[in-house]
Amino acid sequence: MSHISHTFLDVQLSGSVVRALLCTQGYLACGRVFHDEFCSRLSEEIRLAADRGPCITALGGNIRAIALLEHSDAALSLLDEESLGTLMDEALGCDLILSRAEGVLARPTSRLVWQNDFRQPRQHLPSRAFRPGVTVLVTLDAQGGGLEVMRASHHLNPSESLDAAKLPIISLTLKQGECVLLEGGVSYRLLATGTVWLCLAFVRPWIKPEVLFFSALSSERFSRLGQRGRRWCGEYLGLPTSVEEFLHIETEALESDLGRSKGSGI
Amino acid sequence: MIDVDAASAAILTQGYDIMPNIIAPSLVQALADALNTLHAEDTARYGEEYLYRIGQEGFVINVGDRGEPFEQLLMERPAIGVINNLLGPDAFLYLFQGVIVPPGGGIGAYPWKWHCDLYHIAAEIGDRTFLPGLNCLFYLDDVNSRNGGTWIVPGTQGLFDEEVPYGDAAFMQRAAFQVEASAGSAVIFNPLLWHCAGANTIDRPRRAVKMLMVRDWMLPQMDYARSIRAEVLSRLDDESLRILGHRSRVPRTFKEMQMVSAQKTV
Repeated sequence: MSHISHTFLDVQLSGSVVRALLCTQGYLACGRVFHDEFCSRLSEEIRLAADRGPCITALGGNIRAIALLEHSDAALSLLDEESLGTLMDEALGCDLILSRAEGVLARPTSRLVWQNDFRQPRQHLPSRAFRPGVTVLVTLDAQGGGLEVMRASHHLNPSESLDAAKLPIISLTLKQGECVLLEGGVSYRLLATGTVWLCLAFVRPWIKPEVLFFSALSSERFSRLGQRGRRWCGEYLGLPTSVEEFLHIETEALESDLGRSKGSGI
Repeated sequence: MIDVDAASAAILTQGYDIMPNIIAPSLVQALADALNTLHAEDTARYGEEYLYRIGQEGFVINVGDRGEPFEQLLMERPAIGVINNLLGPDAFLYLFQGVIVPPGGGIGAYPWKWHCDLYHIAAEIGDRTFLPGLNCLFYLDDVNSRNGGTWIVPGTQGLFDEEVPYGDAAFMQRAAFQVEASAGSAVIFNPLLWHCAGANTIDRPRRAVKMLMVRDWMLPQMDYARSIRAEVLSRLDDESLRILGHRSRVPRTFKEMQMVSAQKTV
């Protein structure tokens, strides 16, 4: 996939700044990451993916084209983008995996609904130091898109309501191809209707992803991925379904850097 | 009859609780016989040398699919009151296996050593009071200082490697404790509690069944919902299926992801 390298433009921030902003503020607007041409292509492929399905209707009515990687070459190519990989390594750790990779179509009838990713882990473990995942959102329409983030809301305890907390609501207006990173658990909502977004959600490898891409992707699609893409899709995650697979993973854990860390057993 | 509140308090403070005679002798015998048979089968199939090399000699994997006594244990779920009380009603199996400490095995012999389970997540949690799961070790033999009774260091749950001087005799003589219990008893403990199988100095193996239950958003070490044959699953009740992770399994296709999402929004 070398012909489409450098699609995801460098974010001019150090890893420590990225992490610190996500941890404290809950979001980071990182500017332009895609050229217009790539946005148009990806936007078109997201609409195609939404037509072909399967899709999920989100709480407010937005459409999530969840099988984007199966239908979009542009989206698939991103998984091996060096600059995106470096950014995510620095934001969340180099052993993270993909939890979601989808196109989001904000429909005119969509309602404004606060949402947050990785809600369940946050409910059980509201520690400020705990970082279950990071979501990447890029607006792809020529007219751009907007969203609101409730700053630092990922630090709220599960029992505290968003309304009562009186946290500042930050409005972000993004031009085509601009990106925002969202810390796991922070509350946000997409504003513009008729906007197409790319959404990639990454999660720590000991937390369940929303889908196991390693098995969900067709073998033809999976075979196009490089090492990073395969890792992000959970190839080395280790979720065995037989004694033989279990033993194989234990062997890999001892003999290979790619095996999952041994968590138990003695 | 288990005093759920007292057991829960012990686990939250000391890190463990011992529950005497919570499995009937007939089931204990059936489980022990089944473990002997399965261990012999695995040794013949995979080879003792290979299993030893990867640190799996004596561990009988995926027992839920490998005999009626284990199905009965799932149906009886002797410690479930404490598990539900401390973890909520969604906890499920991270690990379900037989553990046989052979003569000469246990602390001092490969691969047995002081450890805590789920150590790979300890540093990420950022909250030393967090209880990620419960480790239930059901003894099938009387255990004591001669045959590998489990060593534990009360109060060490959540501490890091360098904070527990388990190599220091002066500390361990004062802090460590070796479980003595009759067959059919269990020790239930925070998986982040430091522990180790004791040295088995007699000529018979020390047998146990381990059920490590975790929060439902954590990735298990084995996908039990898919590891167990349909005919076995059909014999189990709803609660057993829940414990196996049947209701919280990671989707492996986009269609399944769509179905799971639909169920959540109903």
